[in-house]
Amino acid sequence: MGSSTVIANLARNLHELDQDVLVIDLKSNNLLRLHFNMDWCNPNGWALNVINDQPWFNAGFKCEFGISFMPFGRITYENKQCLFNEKIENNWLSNQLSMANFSDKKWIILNVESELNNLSIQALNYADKIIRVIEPQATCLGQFYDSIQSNYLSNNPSLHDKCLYLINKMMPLSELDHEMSLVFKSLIPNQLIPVKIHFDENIKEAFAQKTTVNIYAPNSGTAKQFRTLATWLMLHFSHKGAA
Amino acid sequence: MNYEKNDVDELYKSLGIKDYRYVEIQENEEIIQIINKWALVKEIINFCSESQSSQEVKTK
Repeated sequence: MGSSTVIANLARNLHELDQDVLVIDLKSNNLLRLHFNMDWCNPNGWALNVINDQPWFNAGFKCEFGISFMPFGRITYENKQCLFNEKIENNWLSNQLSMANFSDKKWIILNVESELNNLSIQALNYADKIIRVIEPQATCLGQFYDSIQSNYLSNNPSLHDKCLYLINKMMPLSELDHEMSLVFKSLIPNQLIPVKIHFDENIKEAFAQKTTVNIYAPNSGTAKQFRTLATWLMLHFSHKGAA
Repeated sequence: MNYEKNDVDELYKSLGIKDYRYVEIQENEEIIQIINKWALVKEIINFCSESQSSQEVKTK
């Protein structure tokens, strides 16, 4: 729920805190790149490279503020089926990341599809930490229970252990949002990140300007919340992190 | 080696590990009132509590 926006804003704040960050978009909607001012019409990305039998890590870009990112790329539906069914083999992601040698990057942040597929499963297994973005809504509570009772997550206790939850799009004046956040806190007291990202028009406007909220509205409440989130993650996971 | 379907549950129990499929609600009066206030929230929590109880019985 809004993971691309969260990751773009988080990456930019980590970068401002002098952290080396590489963001890799594993979501086929290919939207993350737009937060970093990439041209809408530019089709390049790692998935397109893989389809064309080119080295996938040659699809890296650097935005004007110095953040390295790798967009998914624009591919057809048929190519997407080919990518997931034929090109992405077991351990593909870990093998490729090892070969690419990103050891200079302190943070490799993976933007992962919420639906389980062979790539998202590899990403979940590879990650040191998983941040699940949730909204304080009843629908999200249902999805939360479904996900922890699904066979895949329930059969992999290590995944459960490395999950953290971030409340996003919280409307502070909403009674329901406030109460749902309390329910989540009672359900996952040790895994809920103690920073909530509020719903804010500035986030939508920042995206419409192809940037992040700390550039577009640096004094807004959400810009401060993303700064707090980045600092919190640095304090708790100073080694390598993935979302 | 053949494994029984519920071996993982027994393994969790023998190791003293809480089953990862379930989460416990830290109950207090305020949270219970909130859960009871919203029909869908109450339904989800009740369903999952019943599911958890039946699983616990099955693994005993």
